[in-house]
Amino acid sequence: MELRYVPTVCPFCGTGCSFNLVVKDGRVAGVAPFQRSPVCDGKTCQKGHYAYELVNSEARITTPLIKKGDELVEASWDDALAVVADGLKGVSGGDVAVFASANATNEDIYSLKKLASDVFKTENFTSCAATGVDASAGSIRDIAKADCIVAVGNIFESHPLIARRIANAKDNGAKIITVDSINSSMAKLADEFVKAAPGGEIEAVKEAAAFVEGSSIVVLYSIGVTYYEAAVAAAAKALADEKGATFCALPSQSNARGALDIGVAPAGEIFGKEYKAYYVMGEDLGPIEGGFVVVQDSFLSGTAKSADVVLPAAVYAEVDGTVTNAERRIQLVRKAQEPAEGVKANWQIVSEVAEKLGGSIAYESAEAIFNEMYGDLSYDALQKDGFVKEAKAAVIAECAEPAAVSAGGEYPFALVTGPTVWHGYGASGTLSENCHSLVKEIPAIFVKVNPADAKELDVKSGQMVSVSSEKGSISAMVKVSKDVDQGIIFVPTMSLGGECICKITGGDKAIAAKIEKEA
Amino acid sequence: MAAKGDMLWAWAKDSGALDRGECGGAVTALLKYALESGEVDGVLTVKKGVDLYDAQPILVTDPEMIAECAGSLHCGTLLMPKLIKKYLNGARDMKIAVTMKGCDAKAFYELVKRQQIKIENVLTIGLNCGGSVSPIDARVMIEEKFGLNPDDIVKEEIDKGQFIVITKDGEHKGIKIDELEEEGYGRRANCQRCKTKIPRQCDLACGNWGVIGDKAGKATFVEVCSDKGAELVTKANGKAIETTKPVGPALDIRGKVEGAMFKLGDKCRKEQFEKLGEGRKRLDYIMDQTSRCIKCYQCIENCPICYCVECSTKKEHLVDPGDVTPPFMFHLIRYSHIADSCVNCGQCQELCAMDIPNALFMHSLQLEMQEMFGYEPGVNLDLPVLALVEEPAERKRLNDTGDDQIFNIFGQE
Ligand SMILES: Cc1cc2nc3c(=O)[nH]c(=O)nc-3n(C[C@H](O)[C@H](O)[C@H](O)COP(=O)(O)OP(=O)(O)OC[C@H]3O[C@@H](n4cnc5c(N)ncnc54)[C@H](O)[C@@H]3O)c2cc1C
Ligand code: SF4
Ligand code: SF4
Ligand code: SF4
Ligand code: SF4
Repeated sequence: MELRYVPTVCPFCGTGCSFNLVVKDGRVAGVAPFQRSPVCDGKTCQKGHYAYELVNSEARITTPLIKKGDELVEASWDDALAVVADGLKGVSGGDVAVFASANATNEDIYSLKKLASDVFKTENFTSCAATGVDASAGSIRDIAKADCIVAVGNIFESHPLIARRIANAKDNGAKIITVDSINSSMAKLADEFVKAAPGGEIEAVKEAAAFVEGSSIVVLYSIGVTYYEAAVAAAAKALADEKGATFCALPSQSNARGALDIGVAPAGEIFGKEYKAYYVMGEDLGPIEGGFVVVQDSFLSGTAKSADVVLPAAVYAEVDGTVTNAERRIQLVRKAQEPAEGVKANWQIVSEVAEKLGGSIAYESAEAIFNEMYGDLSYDALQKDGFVKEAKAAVIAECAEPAAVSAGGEYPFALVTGPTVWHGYGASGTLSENCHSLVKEIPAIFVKVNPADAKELDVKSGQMVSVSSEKGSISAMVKVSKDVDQGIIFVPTMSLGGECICKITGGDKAIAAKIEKEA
Repeated sequence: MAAKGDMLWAWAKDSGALDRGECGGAVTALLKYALESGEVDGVLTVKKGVDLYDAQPILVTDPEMIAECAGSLHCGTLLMPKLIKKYLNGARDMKIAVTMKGCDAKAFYELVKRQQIKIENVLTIGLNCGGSVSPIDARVMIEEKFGLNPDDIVKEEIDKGQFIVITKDGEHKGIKIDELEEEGYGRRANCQRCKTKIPRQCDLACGNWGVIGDKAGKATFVEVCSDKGAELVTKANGKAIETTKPVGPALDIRGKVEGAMFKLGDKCRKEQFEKLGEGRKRLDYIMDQTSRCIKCYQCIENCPICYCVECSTKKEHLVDPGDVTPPFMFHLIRYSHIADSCVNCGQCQELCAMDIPNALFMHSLQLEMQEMFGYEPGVNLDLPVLALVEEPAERKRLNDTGDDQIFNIFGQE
């Protein structure tokens, strides 16, 4: 019998915690703490802890699929690659858009970028990480040493192991100022809580300035996935600049930092447009209608279901590679088990597709890709603590400011959004959806409703309701909670079971909405 | 012939094991012997991972591999028995030998009582333990207090009340543990409170305390604690290990060191528990700290006493699923289910995502319950307090008296 530990990096958020995968007779059997992690000292949140469950999940796809009529049917790699070549032949430049998951490794994203530029000759290469916010300074550990911290967003649920450092700072006597739109855990830890009106984050950040005092100040902004991230981040950065504070914008995906470093076009310029062909690696953009769609994924995501070809990809536990966390630390993702039969690493799939299309993106190994990216580093140099890249000046894109929500009439509630610790969105959502312990806690997208509103609506916790805005509607599970004030409802930024927050918000941070009981 | 109760100095016959071993390499030699002779099918022990701060458990089945695991890793804050339960089917279908610190040994017994590990199939090699240091804390301490680069350290040890490091250039530097701990560095808080220094509940208890004179550093002090341990030593003697009777004041010295460690443990307990406060103040503190909980489940998943397939904290009628912050009930369930048997292994604190001093709360409760009910967890196979209650009889008493307290903890009857 064989039993060994393989340390690796959590595939979920940008904190970059590590854990050991416990490998029993060649297969991932569980998880154990990796106390040697320079980021988390062996601690993880629930997502990190249960991330092992997705590795050998029944839901994994292990054969290529091609669309026949309305159905996806199993195919051989040769046949699937032939269909890919056929569908993409002659389509290039502005007609193609390529999407990379920001939960994929640097090596995967880098090789995909080459496919976009060298083979498809397109600049339409993006990822959910490209929110227009590129700002990372300081270190996670040093947050504990600050004497004043401004937390913008519910970092407790978006980046729990960074919230830990904020709690440490508080215990060391620091003043904590939170800006959030609900009475979140982050708000409850605060000495000063500035509650943002729905859509009013920017004003709230400005208001928070009055409370800032100290000689070692840190401003943290938790990046979400709306169209207004850059606007709120700019306000947070302005506050940091004014107070001489360290400013760090925390990316929501495990390798969003890496994706930004590799270079991704602003998401807003690429998303929501129509193309002749879409090439999607590990991201869930929801169903894509029209155009020829190729998806590389480990699970049958919403996008995969609508694809013309689905190529089965290995999961994090089956590959070597690197990811870069919020504090710019490049860390090793290590292969703990051989890829499931019939499944290949994302960069390998890219290489095979390139070859079919007459290109050449061939590498010996993930390490060879890394060596091309970072000539002066090596996997060996990353073994212990990874490598922390130097901070660059923050770059925050121009961005329209969100409008205040005017609830009333048909849409009486102001719906606000924010993170939940249990699930993610897009690619992260695909991952968490396949960890049964996380689904057990939160089996459906939920809506938090104030007790008085719940009474008026005559709804109870656990009940399914329909939540709609003028953009669309979703079915959600009620959670009656004092975390939201009367007149406000909260829906987390998550996707689960085909239902997605984006259907009602369409990229807004907050919107007017209504709740109706389901028949 | 070795017998239960014997005290020996032992060292590996194989000079390689003797060199690589922490003391006399006796543990390495005994493990290798047990594997080679077929006494066990596998050895669960610890090896260096990415560096000496990273202790990785490993199941060794090739005797030649054992020597690679020689030496003590003081940053190995592991919990070995939980691994036996989780990944080795509780040793139900294989015989294993395992190295254990005191907290491992206590956790092992509690898991055995709960029928999670088959004790007959496990050979327990206890290691005396002065304490362990969390890896990153150790690195920070070496940098900040020792003024050394943690990557230059080739060996760390705890000896004569000092934490000592040796650099690759051969430089030794030691600082008194007292001094380090006063400044918040050093051993884990639970280790500071720990009084299981020589794990006599194991088959053998091995350490360096009590090895003096020209054997100092070259022999392992072995206390034979069971017939099984005696049998292993007897068989291995002359083949894998050499032994001799401790000479001079060795036993005395060992006893004194253990006594001094107990005193230190008592002092740390007093200090730490005092900070916790009493009564309402204590409750407020606990409620304030746990209000930071994100429900990561680490305190449950890593606790040796938590073994239930259906955990009450996951029952919807007790704790609403998916809430962050979870209600205080989430923690109350843990306190009530575990406190009587907490072995102060520290896992629930070291691994808490929010640095909540869970082990401190639980250990303080455990000690109070020990005073009330006389149950000391982890020392033998006696059943815990909760198991002492006859369910039908207890239910009848509750019904008859209208009482709702399973234990009358507030007033003496
Ligand atoms: C954290 C720690 C603290 C200790 N403190 C003391 C002390 O204060 N006083 C004292 O007398 N003795 C102490 N010991 C025991 C001592 O260091 C030696 O392990 C013991 O004397 C056996 O020596 P040896 O040469 O025969 O062991 P070796 O032949 O070197 O074999 C040691 C065995 O222990 C295993 N091991 C190493 N680290 C760990 C770990 N963290 N958890 C479980 N297994 C491990 C190794 O894999 C190896 O198999 C401590 C040991 C540890 C691990
Ligand atoms: S905080 Fe983020 S990186 Fe850490 S375990 Fe949780 S999801 Fe993973
Ligand atoms: S709790 Fe006790 S036995 Fe366990 S590592 Fe700490 S000092 Fe050693
Ligand atoms: S409650 Fe904590 S300290 Fe006690 S046995 Fe469980 S994990 Fe160990
Ligand atoms: S380990 Fe800490 S944060 Fe996690 S569930 Fe337990 S008390 Fe809460």
